[in-house]
Amino acid sequence: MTEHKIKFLKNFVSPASAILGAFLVGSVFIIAIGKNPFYIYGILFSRTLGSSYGFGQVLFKATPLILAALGIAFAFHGGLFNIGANGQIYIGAFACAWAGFTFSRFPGFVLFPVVVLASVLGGGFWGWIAGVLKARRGAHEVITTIMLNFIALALCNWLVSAKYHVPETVHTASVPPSVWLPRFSDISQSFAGSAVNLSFFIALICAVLIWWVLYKSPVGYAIRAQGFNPEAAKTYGIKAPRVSILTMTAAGALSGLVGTNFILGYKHYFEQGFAGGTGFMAIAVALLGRNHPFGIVLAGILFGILDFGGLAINAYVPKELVEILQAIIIIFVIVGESCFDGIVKNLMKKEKAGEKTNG
Amino acid sequence: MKKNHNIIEMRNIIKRYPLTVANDNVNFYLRKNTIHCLVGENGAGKSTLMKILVGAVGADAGEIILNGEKCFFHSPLDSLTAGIGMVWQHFMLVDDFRVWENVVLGAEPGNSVFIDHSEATEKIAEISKRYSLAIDIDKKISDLSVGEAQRVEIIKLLYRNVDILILDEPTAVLTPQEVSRLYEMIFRLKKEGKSVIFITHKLREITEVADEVTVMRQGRLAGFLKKEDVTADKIAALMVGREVRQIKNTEKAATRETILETRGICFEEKGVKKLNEISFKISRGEIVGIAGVEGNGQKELVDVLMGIEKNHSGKILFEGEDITSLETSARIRMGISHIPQDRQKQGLIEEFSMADNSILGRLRHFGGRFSIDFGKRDRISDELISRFDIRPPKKELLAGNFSGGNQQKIVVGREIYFDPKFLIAAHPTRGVDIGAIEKIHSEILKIRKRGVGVLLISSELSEIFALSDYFFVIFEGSLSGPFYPSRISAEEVGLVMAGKRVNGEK
Repeated sequence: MTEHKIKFLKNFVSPASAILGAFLVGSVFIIAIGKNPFYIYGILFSRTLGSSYGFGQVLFKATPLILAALGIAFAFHGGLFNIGANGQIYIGAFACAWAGFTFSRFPGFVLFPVVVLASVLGGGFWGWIAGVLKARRGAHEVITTIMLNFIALALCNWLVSAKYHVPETVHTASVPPSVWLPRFSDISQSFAGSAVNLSFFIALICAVLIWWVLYKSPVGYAIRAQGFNPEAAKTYGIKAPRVSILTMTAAGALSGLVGTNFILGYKHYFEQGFAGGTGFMAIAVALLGRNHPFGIVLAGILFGILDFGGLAINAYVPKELVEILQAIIIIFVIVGESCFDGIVKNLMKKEKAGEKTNG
Repeated sequence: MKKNHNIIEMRNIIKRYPLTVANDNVNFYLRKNTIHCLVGENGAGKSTLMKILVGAVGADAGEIILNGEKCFFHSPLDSLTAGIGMVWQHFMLVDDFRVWENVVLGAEPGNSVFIDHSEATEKIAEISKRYSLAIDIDKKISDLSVGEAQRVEIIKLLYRNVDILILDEPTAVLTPQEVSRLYEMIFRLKKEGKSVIFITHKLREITEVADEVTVMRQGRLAGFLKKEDVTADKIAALMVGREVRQIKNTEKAATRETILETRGICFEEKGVKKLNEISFKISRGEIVGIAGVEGNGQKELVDVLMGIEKNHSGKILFEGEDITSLETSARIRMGISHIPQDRQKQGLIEEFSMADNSILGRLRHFGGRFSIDFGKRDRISDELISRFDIRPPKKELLAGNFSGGNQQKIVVGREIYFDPKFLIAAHPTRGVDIGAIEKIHSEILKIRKRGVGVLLISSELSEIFALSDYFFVIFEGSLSGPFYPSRISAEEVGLVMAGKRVNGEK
């Protein structure tokens, strides 16, 4: 068996069978509440993939998941577990909205880079804090990012409710239309009603960029070396503190970009609690995507399908079913990985035995 | 003379792993009351064969016959009950327990609540007297020397009444004096009726202790010799599959130009002095050895020289320039190469391909900050593969899938490839087979001929003697010496390694 074949099995067949397995287990639940799984799954997929509108909503839901998951994966390659995507999303999005309504007099071509930069810097700063604490004081990034999540959420809530809210609402003023991202529906009428916007392409560009940095650049080489074997990295002159700060800042910046989807592409203002648990769901997306940028795009779209499809099947089965599905997929992915290693080993053994008898 | 019967027979053992066949139809037998050396290069399958024997791994095919009866062990505990015990390379002792507690652990005398202390100590005392294994049974394991800890492991097995002892490379961590004590113990065990399997790849040991020798090569039986036929050359040839040259440092290439100098380096860690006033000078084209039992400051010295550990006093000069405050990467760029002591933990990234590993630490040689010259990377890896005969010759294979010897060749190859001016080689041939040792030694001699200064750190005296122009001995962080290989015997060096104060010759 060639390396490529193993890679293929591990990276595609294993997650795919995890998803399939999860749907199988999910159907048990559907049967238990007296419905036909084929019918329910049929609705789930036809409402999401069967129309431009549905698919647009899927991409809209997938965009923040992809962006945040890219950040999580990037840090993960450097050996850090970033639980703080949610906080980074809030800070980045707030910074984006704030820059937008504060400098609303600026012409669009000046303001647009400013608001995008604000979201990147906001999220990046929030990630940087955890990176610096790790690098300088050895504070565990899991703990610090969890705490930073609380701080970020509380801080944004306070800023919105005490300082910047539009009376009678829980959101800020809007950013000027000059920086609104065009929606797909502006280009093709078939997407009408869906909020999917150009930030989906921002996410795709980020995926390619992160792929290039990780696998083609010296920086990525150093990051992955540090993640795989800190001892060897140290021995050959790679500085761990630098990697921690860099990866956490970049992770935060990517999460911060989620603001472009919501603020610039959808509501145009910052709203309390808009992201829900996106930053946590993104951990699952990164996991299912095997921390590979392109895998993350696919996993993000799948979770987008489940997310929006959940709303579609809500009329027939409880929406919680979709949450169960998502959870089962994650469990299957984790368990499947070790099962799959065993299967691959067995296959190789058989092949070896085959060679023996043939030769 | 009455022939001793075969106490163990292993017939047609086959064991396959994903990428290799570890045991390919191997036959092995041990006769009662003999010392049997099981010999082979790393990766030859000796350890696997023994693991199968004690039941730590299962064989794919074949049978084991113990005392004429076919048997099968599911776990090392199974085989222990049947009278087969193994002393692993890494000791299985509880550091915070006393000697006697470790010995009885898992087989405590007394009832289920209290341990019968006097019964335990009496029995241990009897064993240590009968086999002359002197030990203070109330000492904690953490206070013992390596040699003593090994003795505890042996006592542990004897306490469980084993008849067959398997020793896995028992001399790897011992000083020459401790080695000869170990030999005495083994001979005593034999005298008392035990049978011993002694796994090793050191030629001298085989000629000293073996009654019979089984040689393995690449998972197969390569040969079987009786005591009277055993010679070092014969075994080496069987192990490698061809005649082996002994590499020796014969021509001098040292110049008077100092390349690396240290001045009074001291280093403390958690209040313990790890390095004490280390000062030496190494010239271009000179190979300077540092001998010593492991753990006496070798790792710390290397870390200081490479800038990995910077919390020390004293100065380091490279080509006359003070590099004490320079980062590791800067030192590498100046031409200091480093073969680290642990290739898997420090030398390689096992999850990277061989090709990616061949540029570890050398990215600045590759198109600068923003891109990696992958074409050049591939050319270099191909060159390393052919020059060092790295197998399998696949640069895209993950480094973790190579055998230990081939991993070491990747590390050594890389560290020699980028035209170093100075090479720090820490245990460059540890756990490496004879063929690879030959290659690595000749490469080290070759680069020194080009004027590279070499600091060779090794606990293998034969290596120090074969390669170095002169050497120091490190003991508890202090250097003694210099000594010249032609003017001192291994036994004398052994005493210094064990802490005896000797004044150097210079």
